[in-house]
Amino acid sequence: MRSLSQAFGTASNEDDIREAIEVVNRTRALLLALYEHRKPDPPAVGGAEVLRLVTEAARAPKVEFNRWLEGRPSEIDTRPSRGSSKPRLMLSGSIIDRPEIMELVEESGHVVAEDLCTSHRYLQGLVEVDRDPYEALARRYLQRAPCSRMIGLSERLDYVKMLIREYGAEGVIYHALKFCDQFQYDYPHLKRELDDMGVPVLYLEGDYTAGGFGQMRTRVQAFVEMLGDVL
Amino acid sequence: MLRELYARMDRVFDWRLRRGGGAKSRLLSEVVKLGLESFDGERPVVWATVYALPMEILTAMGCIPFCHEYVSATFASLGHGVDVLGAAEDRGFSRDSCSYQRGGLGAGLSGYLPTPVAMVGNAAICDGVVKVYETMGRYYGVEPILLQPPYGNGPHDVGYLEQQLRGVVEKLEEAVGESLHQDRFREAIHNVNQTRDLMLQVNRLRKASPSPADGRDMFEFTFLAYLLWGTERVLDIYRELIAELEAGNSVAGGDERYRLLWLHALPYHRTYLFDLLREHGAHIVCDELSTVYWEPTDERAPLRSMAERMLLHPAHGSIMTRADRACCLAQEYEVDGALHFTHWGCRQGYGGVRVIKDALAEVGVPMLSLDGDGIDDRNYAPGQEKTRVEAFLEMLSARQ
Repeated sequence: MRSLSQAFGTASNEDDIREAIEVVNRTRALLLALYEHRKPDPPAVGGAEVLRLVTEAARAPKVEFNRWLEGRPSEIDTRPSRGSSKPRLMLSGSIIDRPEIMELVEESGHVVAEDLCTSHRYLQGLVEVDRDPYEALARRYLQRAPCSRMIGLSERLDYVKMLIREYGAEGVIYHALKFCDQFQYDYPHLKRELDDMGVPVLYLEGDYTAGGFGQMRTRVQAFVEMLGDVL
Repeated sequence: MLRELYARMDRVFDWRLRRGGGAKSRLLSEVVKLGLESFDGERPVVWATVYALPMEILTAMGCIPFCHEYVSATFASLGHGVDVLGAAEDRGFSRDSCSYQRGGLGAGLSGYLPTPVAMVGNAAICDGVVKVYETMGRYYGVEPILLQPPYGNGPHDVGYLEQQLRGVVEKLEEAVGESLHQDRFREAIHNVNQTRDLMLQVNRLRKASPSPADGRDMFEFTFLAYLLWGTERVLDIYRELIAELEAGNSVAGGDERYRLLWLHALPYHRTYLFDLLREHGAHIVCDELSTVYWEPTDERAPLRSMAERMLLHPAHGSIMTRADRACCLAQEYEVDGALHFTHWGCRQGYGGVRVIKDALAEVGVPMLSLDGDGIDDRNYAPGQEKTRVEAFLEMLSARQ
C-alpha cells in the first residue's frame, strides 16, 4: 500500500481502503446476482455477456459501473426466451478475456457457468468489512474459490463439481491457456472426477490468438453432438 | 524398472572405478548407490526437488534424498526419456510442461520410484513441482510439504523462510519418527561449509586458460553432488576432482579458441552439441549452477543461514539477480560469449532470457539463446542447432 501511495502520489488511509472494499464487494455481489439468471433452463443471461461485464468491471470506475449494473436485472426479466434445445455447458480453465471464445461455444450450447480467473473465481467470496482491511484482503486471497496456482487440488475439484451441480451443467469444456502449467496439470485429475460423475469433458488448448478458432469450433460442435447422444 | 537400471549402472561405475575412474565416476557411483539404497527400505526416503531444501537437513536426519528430476535425466541419458514422458502424457499431462517434471511424473505414476515418507517442494524456483508433488502425493499417499519462499531477500524475508524451515524440520521429524540429532546436524553443516570451500577451489582452477575441466562434466558434477551435501563422501570426491584439475587430467580437450559461459539447463538426451563445441574449440569454462553465491552456514543459527542461502539462489527473486550474476561470471572467467540453453517448459528459465542477453551485451558479451529440451528429444533438430551455434561462433571469431 505504501508503494502504491508513493507511486501514484496519493495518501490513502484505512477508511479509504474500507470504502473501496465495500465498493468492490458491491460490484462482485451485483455480478454474482446475474449468475442466478443462468440457473433456469434456458438461461436468461449468456456466458459471453457475463464475460464482457466482468471484463468491463475490471476497467470501469467501480462506483459508476455499480450504478449502471443495478438497473440490469429488470432489463433481464423482460428478455425473450433464448430457446432450450441446446445443452448446458460449463467452461473451466484459466484466463479467458476474449468473448469470441465464449460466443463460439454458445453457437452450440448454453454456457451456464464458468470456472475461470476472469469470471466466477474473481467474483466468489467477498472481503469481510468488519476486520482490519489488510487482514480481510489477505483472507479473501487465501479463502476464495481456489485457483490452480494455489495449494489444494481437492478443494479445487470440489469447487468445480459444486458449480456443475449448482448450475446444472451437462458437459464441461476445459480450456487450458497454452503454457499455463498449473491448469494443464490439473486436467487429468478433473477429467477422472468428472468421468466418475458422468459429466463429459472436452479439452481445448488455446492462446490469445484467434488462429485456432476454426478448429476449436469444429471440436466444440462435435462435443455438443456427442452430448446430444449421451443426454 | 528404475531399481534395475540403477543396479546395471552400479555395475558399470564399479567397473569404471576399478579401471581408474576419476572423481566424476566416483560421484556417479555414489549417487547410483544412493538410488539403489532408496529401494531397500532401511532408511527413510524423502523426495526433495533440486535446490528446494538444504540437503544437510536430510543428511543429518539419516534420510535418503530422492529427486524425481534426476530420474528424468537418468532416463534421458540412457535414451529412454520418451518412455517416462509418454507415461505422463498417456495419463493426460500436457507436453507443454517441463520435461524434467513430466518425466519424473511419468516414472512416479508408473510405480518406478521408491516410496517416500515425505516430499518437500519449493514453490519459488519451479512452478511445476507444486503440481507434480500434488499428483505424486496422491499416488504415494504422502501429503507434500511445500516451502513458499518470499520474493525478496531482506531480513524480514529471511525470517519468514527460516520459520518455514523450522516447520519443515518438525514435519520431517514426525514423518521419520525421530528428532533432528543436533550433533549430526552440526557435522553436516560443517561438511557443507567445507564443500563450499572446495567448490571455490574448483572454480578458481576453472578460471585458468585453457580451461582444465570439461564444462558439461562440471555442470553435471554440481547437479549431482548436491544430493550428497552434508556427507563426508562428497568432500573426498571434490578433493579428488581438485587433484585431477591440478594435475591437468581432466582437460576440456583441444585448443581453446572460445571461452563460454553456460547458462540455465543442460540437455541430457543424446546431443551433438558438445561435440560441435569441442570441434570448434569452444570450451564451457563456467556455469551459473556451479557458482558459490552464498556465505558459509552459521552453525549458531543454521536455519536462518540456510534461509539466506536459499533466497540468494540466482533463480530466486528478481531476474536481475540472475542477470547480474551472469555478468559477474562472464567478467571473472573472461569469456568470449555465453550460451543459454533455454529449456522448453521452464517458465522461470526462458522468461528472463532477453533481460540476461541485454545485461551481458552491456558488458560486451554476446549471448546465444539455444532453444531446446533437456529431456525430450522428440523435437531435437541437430541441423538447426549446428547452424545457429556455428553462426554464433563465427560471430565470436570475428570479434577476436
